Amino acid sequence: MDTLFLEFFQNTGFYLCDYRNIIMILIGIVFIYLGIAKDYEPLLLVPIGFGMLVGNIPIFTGLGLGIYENNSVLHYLYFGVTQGIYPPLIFLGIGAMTDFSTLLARPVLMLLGAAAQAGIFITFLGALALGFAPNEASSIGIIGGADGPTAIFLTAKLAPHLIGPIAVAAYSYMALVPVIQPPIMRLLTTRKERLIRMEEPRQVTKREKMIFPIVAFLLCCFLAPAALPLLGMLCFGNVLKEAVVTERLAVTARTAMIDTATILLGVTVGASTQGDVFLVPSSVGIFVLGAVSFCIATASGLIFAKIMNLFLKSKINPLLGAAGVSAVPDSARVVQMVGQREDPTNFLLMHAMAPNVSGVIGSAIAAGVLWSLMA
Amino acid sequence: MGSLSDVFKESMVFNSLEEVDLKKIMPLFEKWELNTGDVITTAGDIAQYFFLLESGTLLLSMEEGKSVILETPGDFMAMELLSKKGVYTTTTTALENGNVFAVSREAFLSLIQEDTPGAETIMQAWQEFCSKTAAFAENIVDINVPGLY
Amino acid sequence: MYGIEAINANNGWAISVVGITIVFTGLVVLSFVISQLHKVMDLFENPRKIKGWFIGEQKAAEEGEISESPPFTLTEEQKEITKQFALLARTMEEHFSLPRLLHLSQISGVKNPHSNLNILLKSAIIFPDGEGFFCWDQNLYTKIISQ
Repeated sequence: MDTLFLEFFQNTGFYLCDYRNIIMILIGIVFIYLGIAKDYEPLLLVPIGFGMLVGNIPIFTGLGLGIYENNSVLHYLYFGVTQGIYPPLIFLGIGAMTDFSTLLARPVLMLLGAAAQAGIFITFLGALALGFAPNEASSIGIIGGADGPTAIFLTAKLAPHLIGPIAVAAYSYMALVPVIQPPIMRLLTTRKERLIRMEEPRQVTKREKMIFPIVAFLLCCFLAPAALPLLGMLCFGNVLKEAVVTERLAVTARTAMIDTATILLGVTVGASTQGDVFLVPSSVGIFVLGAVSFCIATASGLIFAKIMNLFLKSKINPLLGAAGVSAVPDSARVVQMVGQREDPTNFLLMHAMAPNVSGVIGSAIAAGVLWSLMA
Repeated sequence: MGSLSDVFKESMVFNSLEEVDLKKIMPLFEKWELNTGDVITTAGDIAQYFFLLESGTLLLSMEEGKSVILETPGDFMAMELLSKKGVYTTTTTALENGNVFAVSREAFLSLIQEDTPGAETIMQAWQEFCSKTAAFAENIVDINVPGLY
Repeated sequence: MYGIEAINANNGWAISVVGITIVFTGLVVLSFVISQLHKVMDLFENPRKIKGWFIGEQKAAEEGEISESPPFTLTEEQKEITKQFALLARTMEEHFSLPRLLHLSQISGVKNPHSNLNILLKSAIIFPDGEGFFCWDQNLYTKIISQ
């Protein structure tokens, strides 16, 4: 009987526990705390945080419990991540909830979304310089796109072994947009620039909104076919939304479907951060490079907006450049917040949504380009 | 009451009534003057009056942000007074100066509860009016048979 | 391998330049196309303009004047208030709630919100969608405001 007890004890989490599991469990609790108490991207941080708890319960292999064991339930759910199934479903939902009116009203703001993607490629170079392989460097660079599903999608295709750290880094920085971006925005703009008021956007017709996702899809996917899974679903979702007659499908896409995909993606990505797999030197490098990538992306958007102002008759508020990173709608909200700190009557939110949504398109194209160049 | 008979002629609900029925119900109505911004019914309040529009424009706000504009003489509102709960389900706001003819709940119920062809005509016409003017609001008013009220 | 050497060995510079160029090209082209989209839509909705290219703009305009009924006329003050309503409507869904618009106009301090909303309804700038919500006719709004 003693032997049985001993055997059982040796299979418990208390016995098998490793300090790395404890660290990851603590990080998971911090994620849950930030999500619930601080309201930082709760829909993402809470599932990921709880997933971290799930993934770091010490288990002995062979029972089919761990996410990396072929016959486990978690492994099957993780299949949607490793095969890049969940991100396009999330993009479908994003498309079904995004209103592209502001973008259509002032298309020139789309360039800010393009400029912010410079962070991806500059970080790609940085990662190569630090000794990462090109496919890994591409996956790290895409963190600068500030788009969780895109980062996971590309990493699943190019460097599946890095999904955990890259996903956690991407979502962490997205959640920290209100903390990371404002200092950079204030550093790179003058007060006078922050006070610039934007011209009132023109009204966009229903027909324009209906045609846009089809034109955008065809143009972007002919140019970068590898962006098809993400952009295809994004545009399809938007067609469902704008078509009105498919409202029921649009509602499902932007509620039940995106929520289901987010839950499964969040929990499994969190569970993939097992201490022994996650707490390795390369993860530290990924986190540092991810932060650099995010900062460069923000700065690129801001600087490009200032350059555009040299040529534009009707000046744009350079703060909008920071919304070029595609953390929708958080970075647009940050633009509004920083702008209103200077002038409480200046409403930039609506204008910031234009570079914000074009950032989503831009990072999806960037992911497609990197995938096709690395494949 | 000359203007009321004109409104009856315009009204989908009352224009098919026999002259004798019209003469019977006309004394029940009183004329109200509306000023821009006046709220004559508030959703959730006990339904006291039923209204027939003579002139002006009324905004009927329903649940979930839906609404309907009434601007044709003879349009009517507040049939909720026939519902089981007997409370207004719409808030009615005047968007311009105008007039309505109001009939109290008790008077109108006594009229409807009579087992006469006139009462049946009014109920049928109400259903038609609803499906024509606010088909999306078909289920908003839970109409009960007057006898069970 | 680390540093510049690693970047050179992995063709990093070329990949970055090509990558950012493609992203920029894609978004610049898309930006250009959508900036022209409303003009194409305008032609589609007003084929008279295309006709004008062939038979002379003035004649086409005259024909248009005959076929179209004169739009609702607003005073300068009403135009200003209509613009305020336009701004409010822009913050709402395409199929918006009329009571909500009225409420927004009241809390935003729009002058005589009820009667001015009524004018918008009478002019058909705001029209019902048949589902209990209302839409904003931008073309009619532009036409009436520019009178």
